[in-house]
Amino acid sequence: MPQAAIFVTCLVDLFKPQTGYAAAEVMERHGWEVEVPISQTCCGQFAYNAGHFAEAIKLAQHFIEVFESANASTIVGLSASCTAMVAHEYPELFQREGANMGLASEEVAQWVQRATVMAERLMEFGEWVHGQEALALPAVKPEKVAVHHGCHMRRVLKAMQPTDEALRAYGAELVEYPDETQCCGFGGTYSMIEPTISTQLADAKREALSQAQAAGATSLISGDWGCLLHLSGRMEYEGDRWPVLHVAEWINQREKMSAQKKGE
Amino acid sequence: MERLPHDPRPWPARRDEALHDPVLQATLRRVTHRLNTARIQAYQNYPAGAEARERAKHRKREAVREWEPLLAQAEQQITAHGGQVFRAATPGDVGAYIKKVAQEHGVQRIIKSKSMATEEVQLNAQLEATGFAVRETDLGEYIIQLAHEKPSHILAPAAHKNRQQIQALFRETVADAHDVVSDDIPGLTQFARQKLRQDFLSADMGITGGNFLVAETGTVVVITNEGNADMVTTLPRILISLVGLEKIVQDWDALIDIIQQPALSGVGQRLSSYTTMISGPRGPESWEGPDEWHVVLLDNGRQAIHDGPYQDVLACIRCGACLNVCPVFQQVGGHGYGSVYSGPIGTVISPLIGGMQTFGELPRYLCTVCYACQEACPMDIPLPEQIIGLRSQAVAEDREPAAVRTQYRLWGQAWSTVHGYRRSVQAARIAQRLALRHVGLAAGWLKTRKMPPVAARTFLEGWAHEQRRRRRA
Amino acid sequence: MHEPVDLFTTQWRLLGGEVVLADAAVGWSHTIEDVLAGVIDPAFPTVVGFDTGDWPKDVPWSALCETIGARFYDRHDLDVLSRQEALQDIVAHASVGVTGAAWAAADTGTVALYASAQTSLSASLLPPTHVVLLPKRRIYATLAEGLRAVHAQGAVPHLVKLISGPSMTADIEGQLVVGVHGPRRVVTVIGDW
Repeated sequence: MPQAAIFVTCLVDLFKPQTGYAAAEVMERHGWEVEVPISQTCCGQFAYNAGHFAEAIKLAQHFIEVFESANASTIVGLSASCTAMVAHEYPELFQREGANMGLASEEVAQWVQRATVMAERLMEFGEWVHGQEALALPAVKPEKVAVHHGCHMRRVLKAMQPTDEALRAYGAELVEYPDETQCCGFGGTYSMIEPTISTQLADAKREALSQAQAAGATSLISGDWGCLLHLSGRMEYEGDRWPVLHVAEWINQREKMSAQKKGE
Repeated sequence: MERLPHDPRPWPARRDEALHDPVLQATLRRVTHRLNTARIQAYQNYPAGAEARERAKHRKREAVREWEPLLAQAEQQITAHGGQVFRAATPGDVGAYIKKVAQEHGVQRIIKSKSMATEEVQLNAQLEATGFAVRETDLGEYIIQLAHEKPSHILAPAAHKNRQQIQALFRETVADAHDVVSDDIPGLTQFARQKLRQDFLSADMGITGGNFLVAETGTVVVITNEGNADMVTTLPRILISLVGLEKIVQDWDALIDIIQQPALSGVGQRLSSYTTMISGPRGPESWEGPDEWHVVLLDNGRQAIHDGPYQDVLACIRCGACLNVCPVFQQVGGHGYGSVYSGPIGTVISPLIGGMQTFGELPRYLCTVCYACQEACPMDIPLPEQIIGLRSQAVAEDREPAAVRTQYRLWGQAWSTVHGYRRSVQAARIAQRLALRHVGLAAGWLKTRKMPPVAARTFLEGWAHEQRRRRRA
Repeated sequence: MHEPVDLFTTQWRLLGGEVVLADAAVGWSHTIEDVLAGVIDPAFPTVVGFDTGDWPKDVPWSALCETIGARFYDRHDLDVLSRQEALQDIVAHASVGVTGAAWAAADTGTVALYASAQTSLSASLLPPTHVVLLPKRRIYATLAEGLRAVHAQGAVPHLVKLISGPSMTADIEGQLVVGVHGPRRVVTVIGDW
């Protein structure tokens, strides 16, 4: 039985546990043994993006230690931007800043090495699900959805295609809308440090998404709860009503619907 | 004299002015969108341009890395062709040198083509203070010169104004009593053409910037779409080219690879309408070109950037592509940055040239770290990483508010252990119950957005609970 | 199969330039007369032209211009004036400037001019219409080839100008306007002379 450890991310853990359960259910349904390293916390991306490298390095070291002791070699991340942080920034971060943070040169080399190995074990949930055979039945009717790929997904991981293809395999019809490549304005702690611009950008995104909504999209899907908390938080504040889901939740729903149909 | 001019108003004032300017909002969105679409299509339809970009990127980095011998070679070539070279360390040096040349030749009228370097050193103000008449000839620069404003876009300096505003400006500043100033865009352009014609024909000195400086041949390359740099380089007796040290390229082959990139990335053309290549003053046999040519090589902090961790930013060719894709730039435009260098490139080079004290707010407040700039940059400059680097510099130099600093420190300490993490979850729940959510960083969020409460049972708590239950069962 | 001349024509037109393909059978003079007649402004009936030695031979420029009501000035006529007078009084008031080209590049729609004893860049810049007489053999497939040719002779000419279409700007509201400082019409006459 293939094994995978879930990298839950702090936002899912604290605010959206249902996404974690959905991911685990989907993975188990596909015959994977799921492991959740219980000591995981946060990848440190918030601190890194804000230039607080000392804190970012501490959290990176904790992350590496926790996942090094996992049994599963594959790690599946439930956020594209956090996955990008670990896979793309950790080795660089130790390389560039390790010495400044009081690590001896041999320690820097060791951490770079450990981070590089960690990076190779990690994949984003969309990439993982794309590698599986879709368990949806044609009998489940297609659903129009709007997808928001976060900027790390789009420009750092460059892995939108697997997610899009996986969603389509489950009967999603991806509705296009203007300026899809545009940032939603979240930006980690940027959303709190500069709320005015951050909110302006959220509103620009809402306006663009309203076209998808008008074209029949029933929900907004993303692989990143960072963007989604920001967007849904703004929508809720403004009284918009529109379901907002993580990719794992939407796919889990589809698989359950398929199973139901099969049962009927 | 300051290294880089700045708008003394704080960021929130600049930001709010931009957000509440409906003309700016409309024109900015249109201009950036048009330029960006044109850029993408230009490369798609022209694979040779994309291939050249790959080569150019590497060669440009190399040229920057080893620039000292190349600059010496360029200097030697220019001198050999009868030109003169001056190395200017500061904005004041640039002004003093050009004033000296102008005075020696009895210059009265000066015409300029668009140059960000001259904006950086506030050359017009320096020359005008000594009594020289200076005329900007790029249409956008002409408009903002008349309005006494700073450029709001590297490529389209007047992108923040609409036709009605420009019509009124022309009426108030340059129109004679009998002039009829049109309110349509071609008419306004024609009006400027006629007015500037006289300036071109009567000027004694021309000043250009330079897009590239070729070490092998001592050639300065100047790119425009309007043709004004051709006028400036062809007509006046004395020509000055102000060139930043980073404009250096190795040789003619390197120039061939890079020469199309500003137009492809900036405006989506394969080449700008006019490319002028100057390698020396007019020879005795030649009818045109300047009698004297002075190349002023500008340092103004560039050597320090070169020697530090941000060297790659010197590969910038000032195409403006990063501005057009930047979500923050699209909201606030160039004036929001309070620097002549705006957008992501300005966010990096303004503090590097002008100091963190003055420009530290740019990396902090004007970047969402979306990576669109690096993706658009023809030279693949890691602007997001550099912006994060500058943020870390602000942290290291203790420029962040103490309360913010403390929050990060406590957070980093707590979350790097599982117990600390769990304790903070408990603390968050208590804070929620006590309605204490509107403090610290979270307050910024809650002003405009809802935030779900911390789950009654977090995922990790729930999973651990389930594991225990299964083990017992 | 794309001949450089076809690609040049496409690109030059895309940029807003005009192309006239001259036919030897019609006679170069006839074609040139037609072109000039189409662009001359009766209010400014002056044509300035600088032959770099690559124009079609035996074109009676002065007579030809007379038939369309214009006066023709060449390098020789302007040499008797000071440079400033020539520019201010003649070139700046001409409605048409005629030049040759050192070379042209098809992929970018570019013509290259060198400043030299014979040719004046001002004729390509000050009048509202610029006519380029371009021998077919001078068209390279790519800009890179043309630029290599600039350097192939050793020293680079002191002033080289690459023109890719008419003068234009998008500085007001991003709207494209043709003919800012340089010409608003650029007509390339291509022939096998």
